Amino acid sequence: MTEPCDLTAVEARRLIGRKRLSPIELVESCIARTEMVNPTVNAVVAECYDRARSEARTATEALVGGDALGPLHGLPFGVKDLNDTEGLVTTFGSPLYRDNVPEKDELLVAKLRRAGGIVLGKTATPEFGAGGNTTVNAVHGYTRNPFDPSRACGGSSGGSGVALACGMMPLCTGSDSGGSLRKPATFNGVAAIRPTTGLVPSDKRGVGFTNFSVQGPMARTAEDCALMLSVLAGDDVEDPLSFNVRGEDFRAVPEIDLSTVRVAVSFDFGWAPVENGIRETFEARLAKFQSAFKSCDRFDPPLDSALDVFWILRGVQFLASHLERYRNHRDQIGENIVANVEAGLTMKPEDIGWANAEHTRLYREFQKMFADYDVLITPGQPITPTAVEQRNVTHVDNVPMKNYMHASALTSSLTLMGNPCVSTPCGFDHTGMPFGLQICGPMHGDSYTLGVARALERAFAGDPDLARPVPDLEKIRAVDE
Amino acid sequence: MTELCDLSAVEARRLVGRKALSPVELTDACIARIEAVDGSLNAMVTRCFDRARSEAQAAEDAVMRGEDLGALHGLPMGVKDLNVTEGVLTTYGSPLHAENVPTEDERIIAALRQAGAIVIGKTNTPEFGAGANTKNAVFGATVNPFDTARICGGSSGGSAVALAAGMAPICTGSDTGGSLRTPASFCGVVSHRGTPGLVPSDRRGIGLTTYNVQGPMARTVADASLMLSAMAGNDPCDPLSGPVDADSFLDVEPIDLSKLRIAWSTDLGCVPVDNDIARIFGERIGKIASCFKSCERHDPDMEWALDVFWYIRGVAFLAGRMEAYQNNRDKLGPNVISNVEAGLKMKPEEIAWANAEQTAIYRRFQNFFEDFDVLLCPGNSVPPFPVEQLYCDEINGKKTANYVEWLGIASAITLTGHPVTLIPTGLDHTGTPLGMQVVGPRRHADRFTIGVAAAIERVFQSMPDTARPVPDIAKLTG
Repeated sequence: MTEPCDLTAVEARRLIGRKRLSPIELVESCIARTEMVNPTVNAVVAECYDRARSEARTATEALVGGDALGPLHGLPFGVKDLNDTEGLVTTFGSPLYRDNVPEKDELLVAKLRRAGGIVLGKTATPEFGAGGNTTVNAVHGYTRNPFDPSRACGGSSGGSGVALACGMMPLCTGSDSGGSLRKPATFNGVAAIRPTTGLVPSDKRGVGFTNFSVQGPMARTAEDCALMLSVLAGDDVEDPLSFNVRGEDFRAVPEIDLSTVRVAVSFDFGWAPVENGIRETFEARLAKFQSAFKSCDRFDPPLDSALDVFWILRGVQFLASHLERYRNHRDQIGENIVANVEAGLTMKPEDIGWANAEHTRLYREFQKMFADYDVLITPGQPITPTAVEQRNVTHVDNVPMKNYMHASALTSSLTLMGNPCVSTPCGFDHTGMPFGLQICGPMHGDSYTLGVARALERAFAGDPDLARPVPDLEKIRAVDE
Repeated sequence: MTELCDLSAVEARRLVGRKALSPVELTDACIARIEAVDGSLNAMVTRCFDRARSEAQAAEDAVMRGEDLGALHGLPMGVKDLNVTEGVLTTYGSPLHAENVPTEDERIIAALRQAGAIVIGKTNTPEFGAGANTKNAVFGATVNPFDTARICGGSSGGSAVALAAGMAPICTGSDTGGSLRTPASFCGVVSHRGTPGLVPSDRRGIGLTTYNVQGPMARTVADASLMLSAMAGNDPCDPLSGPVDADSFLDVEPIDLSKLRIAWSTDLGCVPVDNDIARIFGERIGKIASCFKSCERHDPDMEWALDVFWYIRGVAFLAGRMEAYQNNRDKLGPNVISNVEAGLKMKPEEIAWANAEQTAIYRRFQNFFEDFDVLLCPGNSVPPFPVEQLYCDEINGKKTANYVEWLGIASAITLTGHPVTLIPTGLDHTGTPLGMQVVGPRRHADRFTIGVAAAIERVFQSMPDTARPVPDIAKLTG
């Protein structure tokens, strides 16, 4: 009994184009699903149903009128609450912005709407996106994992991950500094791509010349991610790292024959924290699918200093973004922001110089692996979702973490590289929560990497151990009072 | 009396392709010119004439056999001594590397040689490229061919002098705060600082910055573009590189100047510029203003650019030179030491501020170009000063804050990452060349910017006062 809200974006769009599905019907279905489960999971923290309904009517009329239709025509989407949305409250998860209603959409939202997408609401994020273990903030409280509401959904694009898993909408925006697209995708059994830095331009990145804070699509399939990416990608003067590309070139996902793909598999780069249960799950999954590839070698790319480099560059990043708030509104900012700013303030200029140079050295060494391999595959996340209340990961299998980003090294190290990384669901982990893969491709190989992910999705589809997990909505249905 | 070594690269390459000019003859002509004038100038500080002659012979053979010829087939080339060259001494201007002979070429050198260029020698640079007086403890000073008592600019100073004096038709350069532009401006030649990433570099110490961009230097815009076609590309060695059609630089895009809205500025609203240079630049604008749809004096909002540049530069020096500073301080020159020490005094919050402010300046610059297609500004802020002086410490009677402030007219543009072509405009009030920066409207608008520069070059070339100045070769000989 597939309801319209459970359709993939590609399928829904196809049906809309053929006049088999009306945008009104689709929007109503998404609203109904959201109302059914959101009270339990708290993924959508602001809604604009009236506007969505009216846009859906207009979209339906356009269909009847035979107008040219955008690639997202009539598709509802969720917007991470870090993104400015015209006329819709945008809190950044901070009490300082509890009542902030922007006058203008930021670039990626504007692009999605221009392509025919319909904003349904805002999805929850931790305060200013800081802290990816659990999505919680002082404005909206906890967002919960639909597979087990007592567990964390990941972050910082946590609301988007949950909304997609529950079928509240087929597409959502996300962004990623240390893994904020990838963690919630894996924890909720959905798909995301952190694109090559610069491919998706942003008019909001405070420090333009970094790999931090890359925006990207989240959806339930690689193909849906590609559809969304084709709207988001393109050169734009606002982002100093954007480059000459045509977004529409990313729409069609290339057919990849897995038997031609040379895979490097790394459990942990040789040093990153990864808990034993995840290692065992990954091992078992590999045993099931690795024969599909041309080759599948254990290879740890040389990323040894990535944790330190990331921590220092992140400190500078936080000073650039939050020092003013730290100085003037300290009582209204949370512990993660305070801790990051204070860590930044203790950094020495020579350490910052070192981190910048070491970053580029790591980058160049890393790229060399693509002479021998087409993609790198790692576990999607190093741990199973923790209790929802746990703000930071302090230990992995009893080993204490150096700082609150330590446990994210499996994703943050690849952030530094800037290469495209796709999150692909792959069954359940040792605790019954979604398990996924992180598939990292060569620079600018976004379409190729999505192609590999889609080929894997197809290979996984028939096998309950590998297929995308779907939460039991009956269990999280809101109880009428 | 055009000698072969004075031919433009485009013309020489055309003649080579038609079998009307032998690469051997051309190489010999360049060698003869080097031997004639470099005693006075000291630009080509390391020479590899034997290898050049043998490569020229091979190039000639390839022509005679009717092989496919690269874009630069048979063209002699000077290589800045910051570029790593296989089998040819590479000192970076530092005594620490006075005997360093690399075993492979860095990316751009390999690419240029692959396209058929012949390395004829290495051109002088200040120690590690720091500063704009091309002088170092290994090779001494390179001087201006228009006045040998004064500086030639830097850090690609040897390349600019070599071009001006006809030692080679093309040379490599690189630019952090104006190192492609200042020497080109002082020596009456052309350079192009491309959008960061357009010319991928496997040597940039910090990948995600607009600093340290490599680019072509030549005597005409068309020559620089031809050279760029062999340097541009998409190579993952450089995190800023992306998709590009390098062959599009083989020809210069024709631009109709009468359709362009021009903004011109003498000082970008925020950097010190000598009053006479500003006046002469204004006069030069007056000579071309009627060619455009509109030509308005208008400063972009680049407030804080000098401070931002200084902080980011400090971090770059800590990234690149900290180890040498700690272990071999006695072998480092004053510019490098002062930069490292300035960096060590910086606070993390200041560095963070500079990072964010650079992006703010970048975005304000985008707004500026909503109303203009091109920005024109001077290539240098002061005339070349005596070669004994390390940097310019005073402009219009006011002390400069540090040793790179006098380069602000160039370094401010660096922060934006916009493409800039530097073209000659004639001589300044002191008898040395003054160049013009043609700044493109956005990143990746390199081809457009080059096209505009070529069209303006043609206008300047048509008037005796503004034509490309040529040094008196006879005076430099012997």
